[in-house]
Amino acid sequence: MKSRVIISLILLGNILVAGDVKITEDLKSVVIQEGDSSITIERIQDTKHRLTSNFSKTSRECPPFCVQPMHIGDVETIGELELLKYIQDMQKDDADMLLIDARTRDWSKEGSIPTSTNLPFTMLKKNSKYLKKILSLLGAKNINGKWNFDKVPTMIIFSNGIWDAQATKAIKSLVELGCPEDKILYYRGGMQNWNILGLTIK
Amino acid sequence: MLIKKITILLLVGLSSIYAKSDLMSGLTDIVDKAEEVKTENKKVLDYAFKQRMRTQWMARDALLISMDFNSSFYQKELLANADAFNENFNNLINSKEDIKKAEKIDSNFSKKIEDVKEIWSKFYDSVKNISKNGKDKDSLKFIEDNNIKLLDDIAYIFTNFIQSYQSTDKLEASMAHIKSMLYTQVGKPRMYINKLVKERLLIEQNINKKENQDSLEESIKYMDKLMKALKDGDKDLELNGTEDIKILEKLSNSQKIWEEVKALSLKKKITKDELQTLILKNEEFIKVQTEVVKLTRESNDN
Repeated sequence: MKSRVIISLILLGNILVAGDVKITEDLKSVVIQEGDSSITIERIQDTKHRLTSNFSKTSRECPPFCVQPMHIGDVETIGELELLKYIQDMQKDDADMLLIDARTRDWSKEGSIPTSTNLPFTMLKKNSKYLKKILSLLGAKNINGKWNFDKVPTMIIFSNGIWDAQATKAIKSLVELGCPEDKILYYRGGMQNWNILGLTIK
Repeated sequence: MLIKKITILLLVGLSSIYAKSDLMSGLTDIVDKAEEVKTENKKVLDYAFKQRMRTQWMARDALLISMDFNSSFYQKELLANADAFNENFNNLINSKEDIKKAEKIDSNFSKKIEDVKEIWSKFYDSVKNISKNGKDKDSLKFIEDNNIKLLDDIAYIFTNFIQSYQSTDKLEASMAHIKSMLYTQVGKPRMYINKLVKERLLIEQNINKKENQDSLEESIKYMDKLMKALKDGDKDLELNGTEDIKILEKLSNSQKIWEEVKALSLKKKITKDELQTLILKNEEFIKVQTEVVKLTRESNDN
């Protein structure tokens, strides 16, 4: 009888401990520095939490909101764990990476991934009047009318996720401009997956 | 030697951090500036929604004054609405750059603006006359004969402006279209309620009774469809409906008021008290529906 109670308590203990919502079995959170403040990226700990935001929608009109391919040319597609690793790496002094939220501002202002910079896909189009300024700022050099991307940091690009072409468009524009595909990473899950996992939003 | 090395490493590290934050804030600055231009463009939309509503508001108030219904109050209201219409209209047509853009869509655009200017000038004069003398029949006739034309002309001008602002990028234009349809439709009931109350008053005054009875019935039918569409969605009206609790709450309030307005509008004869209620409900509806417009914009229902 006594041993049964002990086993029950152990099991109960396990159930209570299982309440932790970790990122992986070994990773509870990622702490990063953004400006003067530190941000902890973790999952929402309330196991009853449900999405009530726009990311709970299943059926948006296509076009414009169509399912995106897994691969865009030879650009590497990454998931959340790889992205978190890169976000951690970006904290290092010699990190040469930039996390880009390629959505238009009205989407991005509703919340984005910590450490990301909003650079709408429309501004990376060939005919964008801001293109020259943006590419120069990124470190690209215009040599005889062609852009050289050697000094540009590796760009991880995302948008709303699997149903949104904004990141796809940004990537295609950069490649068209001459950016090597290995300078770009595509986080296809985007804000949809980030939200569904309950990860911290800035 | 070691301290020197550490110092150099620290400086390299710090400069890299600062370079990155410079890059990020530089990009943010460029995007912010681009957004400022977009915000300016969006103001046109705001003008559009209110101007449509005002055309019908003025026509309704002119009628109320002619019916001796709280005349001194509505004389002030009428003039205030006309002044606001005039200010917005001038702001818009004085923007040469915008007109040039819109002319790319319709080469007759400048001429159309001149035509609208002419009608508006006469309309404004008529409003001023009625605000001084509520019994001025010629001015009332001009307003009642021309308010729908003014409404259509203003809608035409704004549609062109909106189209001229459209992005050349297919994806962005398509996303913007969804929003602009939503904002256009969500603002419409305010115009329609004024229009149909005006039509009911015209019937009451025996002015073009048959024609106005038909218009009223059509307005009521459209209003029913529109109110349902804002809540549940409608393919024809390109609306998806909403699940936003705050918006649904307000829509439920405005639906209740709309049902009251509808019932009064459909009555064959209305008493003075009922007329008073009709006008009050008309205004109450506009207030609630204005909150719906505000909440819809805030919710940024993507």
